[in-house]
Amino acid sequence: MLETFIEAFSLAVTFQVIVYTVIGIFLGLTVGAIPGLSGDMAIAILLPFVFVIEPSAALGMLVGVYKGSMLGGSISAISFGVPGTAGAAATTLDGYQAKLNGQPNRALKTSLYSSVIGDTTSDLVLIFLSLPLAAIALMFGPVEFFALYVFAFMLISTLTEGKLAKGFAAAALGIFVALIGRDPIVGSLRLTFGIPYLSGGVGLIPLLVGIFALSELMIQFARAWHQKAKNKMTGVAEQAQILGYDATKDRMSFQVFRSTLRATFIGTGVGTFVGALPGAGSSLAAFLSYGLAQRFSRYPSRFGKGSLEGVAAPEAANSATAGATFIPLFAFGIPGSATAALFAAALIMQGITPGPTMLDENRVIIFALFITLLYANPFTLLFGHLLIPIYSRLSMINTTYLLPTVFMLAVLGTYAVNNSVVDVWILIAAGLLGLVLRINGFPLGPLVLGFIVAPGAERALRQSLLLGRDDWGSLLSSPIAIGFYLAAAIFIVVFAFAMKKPEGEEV
Amino acid sequence: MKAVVSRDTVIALLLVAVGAIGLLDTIFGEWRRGPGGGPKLFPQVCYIIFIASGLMLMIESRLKKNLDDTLTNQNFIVPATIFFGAGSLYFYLVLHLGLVTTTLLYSAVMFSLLSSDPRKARVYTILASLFVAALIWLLFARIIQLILPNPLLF
Repeated sequence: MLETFIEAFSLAVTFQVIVYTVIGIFLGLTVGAIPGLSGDMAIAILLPFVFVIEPSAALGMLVGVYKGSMLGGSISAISFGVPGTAGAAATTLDGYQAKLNGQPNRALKTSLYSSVIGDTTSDLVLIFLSLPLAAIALMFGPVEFFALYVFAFMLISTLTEGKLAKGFAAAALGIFVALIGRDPIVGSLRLTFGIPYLSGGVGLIPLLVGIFALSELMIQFARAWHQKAKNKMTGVAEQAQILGYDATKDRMSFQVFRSTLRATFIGTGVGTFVGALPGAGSSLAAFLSYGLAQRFSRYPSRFGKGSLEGVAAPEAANSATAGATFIPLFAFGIPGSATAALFAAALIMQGITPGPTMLDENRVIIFALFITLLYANPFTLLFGHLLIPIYSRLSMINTTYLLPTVFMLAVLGTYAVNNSVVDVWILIAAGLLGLVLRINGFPLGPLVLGFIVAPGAERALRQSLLLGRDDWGSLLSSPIAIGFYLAAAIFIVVFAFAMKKPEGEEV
Repeated sequence: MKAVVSRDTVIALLLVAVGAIGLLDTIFGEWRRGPGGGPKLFPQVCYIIFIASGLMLMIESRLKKNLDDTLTNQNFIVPATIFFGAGSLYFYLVLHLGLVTTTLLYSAVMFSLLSSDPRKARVYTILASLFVAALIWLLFARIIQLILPNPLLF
């Protein structure tokens, strides 16, 4: 074992591997910060390089892109109110508001630190618990998975204080949009309304960017349109002036950092667990951890209004899925996410077949990958410190120039994912939908989660019914599932209708 | 306040109506059969949630006094038409006219539209448009190598 580790160390800690890992982190940060572009897209584009450069260096670069994009998504979410990646959608809820409250630096630094903590922790979990964790994850059958999805659905819907009905309606709308296209089991078309372009369904990126980004851009555009005052910026600079922005009060202190630790640990735990579940994804982890962090926060009413805990929890969860998502891949050869599938492709290109025997047969290169995953985190921290001030300063640009530019980036970035014109029209339609929903007081978080959860939930429900021979009682056949349903019921009853607990002192 | 309350009631009725129509469609419409409840099972779940949330919203709108969560103070029709119309036209022209040309034109028009004094800011508008066009070209044409149909111009 020691010899293997030494050999792996000498493979991972070479100048070439470190340089390519650093390049990957830079690319990932940049790509993740651009709405519509994603780390998965960057990884896919870089896959051919696996043939050209040394395998460890290629894997290091892909690792860097993946980690960088997780953090990069939050830069855009906080600075522009536009989630750069799917996993950063939950960060937008509080991150952008924190910026408008005159705390952009604190929000971005909170995101950076919680991301690195979540990422490092999940990497350690992957290294030390990959086999046992995979065994637990595999105990989850369709019944348990469906119960988990119901729990997530109920939790996110109850986040909408005083708007429970609209939260459920938004979630149902998200589910409805997700059902458009082909049935996952039978393959028949449904809910396409005779439109052939919808046979492929609605893409996640166009929907997310449209719902969050375009609707926000539209609202800011409307404000700018109505005001059109000279030198009046409706973005953060104006808000900062109105609020008396003071840079000294936006500095990150240890006290502020400590106040977000609980949320960071919640996000880390949730992200690591959810990331290990095949198909669950970073978005689900982020929203789940956001909900839990709010529930256990001393200041729950601040969530949605710029709470730094509301930034820390989803970012930690989002990044914590990075390491954990490889658990099913390394243990069973099953890629649990699109990113894991891309890495599986990279491993296959190097002659490594993902599966139960992969760890034993390719111990050196897998250990080298583990080491790379670990040392990439301090580089992410360093690059985050260097690039965040540069990327976030873009938000100080007059909205006259920023709004159209971000719009163009969002449109072209969305088109770049699949080179699909349909995606762009879906983006614009989603933007209109997002605007209508926001005008009428509907929350957007439940809609997005409903969209993300629906395919997995439907598959789990129908598989459960298949296994139970169409007996709905089979959904209660598992104690784990019953536990999730009880927790969901408790959340609705206790947290939606209970008295608010008294808040602590301000930090 | 009354206008807001009645708006929520209308939304609630709309939700119930959509849910009811959808449910009727799944019952009497042409849906393929399949295992585990078939393709119509989850749409039925969705429609039931629509109906339930519509009814909940009706009750909420009756019970709650302060409904200040709607953006009622802005007129969105004109800016939304301009924003989405110009945006759709932008993408259409990117495909047919060219990425850089369209970006340059779109930037110049939108920057001028949003500027408080377009005539005074015309130098900045031109410079910013050129910069944005160059940035878009570098990012999408060179780095990402976006695949676009053969346009008329550059």
